Amino acid sequence: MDTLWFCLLAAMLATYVVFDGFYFGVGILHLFAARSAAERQQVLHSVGPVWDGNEVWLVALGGTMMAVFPKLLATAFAGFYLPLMIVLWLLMFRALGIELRHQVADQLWEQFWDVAFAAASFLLASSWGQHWGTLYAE
Amino acid sequence: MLESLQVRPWTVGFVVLAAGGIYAARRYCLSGSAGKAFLASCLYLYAMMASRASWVFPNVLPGRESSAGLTAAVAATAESTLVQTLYWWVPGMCLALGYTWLVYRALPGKFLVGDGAGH
Repeated sequence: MDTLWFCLLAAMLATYVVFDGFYFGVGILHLFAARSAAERQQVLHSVGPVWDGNEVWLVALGGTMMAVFPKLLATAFAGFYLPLMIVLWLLMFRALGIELRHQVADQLWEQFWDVAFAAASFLLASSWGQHWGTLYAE
Repeated sequence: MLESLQVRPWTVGFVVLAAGGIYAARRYCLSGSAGKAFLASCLYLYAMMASRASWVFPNVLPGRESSAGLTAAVAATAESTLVQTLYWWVPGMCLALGYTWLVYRALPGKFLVGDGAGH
């Protein structure tokens, strides 16, 4: 059973990477690919309806890991507490960037959240790579 | 990694799948088939994850010394818990996949400038 659950957790992690991966890309590239406010709005519309559901895969992965591999979760979080807290803050900034952007009709406000969304997406993608690379470096 | 390859040489197939996924993604992207290019990139990601997972197994958290690493057998909870978790995980995943399919199916193919409000 532990082998089966290892495979299922790997599949869930891969599914999160697939679904949230395009959201990373949209965040990183939207400052460069979209030149006007209308184009940036168009880019954000493409991820707006689905980004919540994509991130739930990460939550499901963490919850399932806690149920089946609790020692793994405890050891990984204990050893990587600061990096994982940074990842959580970057996840929050990504969400804030897409949800708060349209709350105030002000150019500076929109630009700030555009940059925050792009920076958080880039830093989050590189952070995940660093963490997984550090965990499994040989 | 080399030890895992010696024990499970068939895992090299995942690398071949990943390379095929990259090649197919580029081919479909250049030919304008965006949907097929996306599926090919998904294949690449799944194959990469599968290759790394198969090479790491049975370790789930490798240590600097092999004796200090955490294996799947040691990190797992009780066998009865693993079985019971599977009983709620399967319908949960069916719901999650069904919801994902519905949401993506409801999305329009392309978003135009000026579409919608909110996000």
